[in-house]
Amino acid sequence: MLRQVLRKPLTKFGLVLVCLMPFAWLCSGIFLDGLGPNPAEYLIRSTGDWTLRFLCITLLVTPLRVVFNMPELLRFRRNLGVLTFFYALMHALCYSVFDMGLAWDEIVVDM
Amino acid sequence: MLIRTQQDGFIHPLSSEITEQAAYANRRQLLRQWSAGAAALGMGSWAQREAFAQGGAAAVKLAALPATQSSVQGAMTVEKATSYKDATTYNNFYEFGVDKSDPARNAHTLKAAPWTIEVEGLVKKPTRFNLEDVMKWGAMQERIYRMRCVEGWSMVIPWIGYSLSDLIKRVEPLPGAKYLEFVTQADPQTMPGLRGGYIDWPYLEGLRMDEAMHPLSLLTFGMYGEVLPKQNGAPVRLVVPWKYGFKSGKSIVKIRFVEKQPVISWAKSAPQEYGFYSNVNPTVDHPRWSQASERRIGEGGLLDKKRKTLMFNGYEAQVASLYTGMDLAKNF
Repeated sequence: MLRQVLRKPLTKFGLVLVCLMPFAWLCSGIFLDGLGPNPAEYLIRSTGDWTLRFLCITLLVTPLRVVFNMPELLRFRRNLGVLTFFYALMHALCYSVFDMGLAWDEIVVDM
Repeated sequence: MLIRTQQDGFIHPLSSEITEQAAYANRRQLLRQWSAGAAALGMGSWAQREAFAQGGAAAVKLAALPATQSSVQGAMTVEKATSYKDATTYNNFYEFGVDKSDPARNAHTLKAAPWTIEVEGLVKKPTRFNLEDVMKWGAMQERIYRMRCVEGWSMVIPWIGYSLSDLIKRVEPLPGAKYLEFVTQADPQTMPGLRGGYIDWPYLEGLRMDEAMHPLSLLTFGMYGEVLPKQNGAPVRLVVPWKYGFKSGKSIVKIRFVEKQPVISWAKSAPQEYGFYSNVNPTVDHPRWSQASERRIGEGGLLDKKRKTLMFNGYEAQVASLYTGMDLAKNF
């Protein structure tokens, strides 16, 4: 049953959609003033948190596949990896734009 | 012959429209209060705060703490005050959690009354004082200070209190007293953050005697016209505006007069990152981030540039002389 669901093309699409929900939620926060007194800090921290979460999930795919003998899981690994990269990119962008104002000389020093 | 009736002459007002005599007699005082309030806070932040007080379920009406405007040099910045909501829901008070929204959520357990302050060490007569008595040792003043956190954000807050020097003079330090050590409340029953092992509780802070005697060092009992909210260090805290915020200890229970420089909590936890002085200094970076700029909470949008951080948080004219001849990069 589970294996059949995992094989469906729609499952892949659904997974990506679900994984983009934190991003959608953060975006709505920008416009609805839902990010607290320091929105820049909130965005930088939460995109960083989500990067780490997705990194853990991505790295879990192979061990789970082996332990439960479910080759179907492999279908999602690349999507999850790309999502991890997406959140990492958002994190880097939020830091560079909101915290450093794209001042590259300061960014280099800060790194 | 002129016969006056109810129908002519002046119009008789309803008795409910007549100003009470007591209110009329107090009109000058009322006007003074209004103008002082407007000058101190700016009507904008006042309106914001009113909206919060009326709208937020978390808003608890605190006791008013009457005060006069301070005449101490540098004590009344004209910058726009941070909203009450931001100043009371975004701050660090690790005894109640490490997240900046934790204090507002968790500090309701703090028992702010009855409260005593113990004065011990090199003073004429070490004594435990009741807070009510300590509050009478100086005239309550309102002071609008910049507050710069070591993490790189800042606020403008109208505090109420009196110069710490008033307390120091009252307890008569002995000649050997060179430093003050502040011990803050550490009660595992009411402070969930004490389970965190990053600090050796209780949280300790310290000042050199001349720093503590500086008129800008404020023994603080209130903010925004009221007594301190619990999350901001009720019922008594320190505010030292030219130093990073963590130097201003909250919920103080003991003041020790000592001869040797005390080891403050953050310098003990991370000596390479935090020093005893911790003066705001844009030229001395934190090992992990730059201190050249700061984000003023509530100011500007996401894409606005941050503010440049000022030497001694803008109090250079008042306090620089305390540090003449000192290498501030070494004594950070």
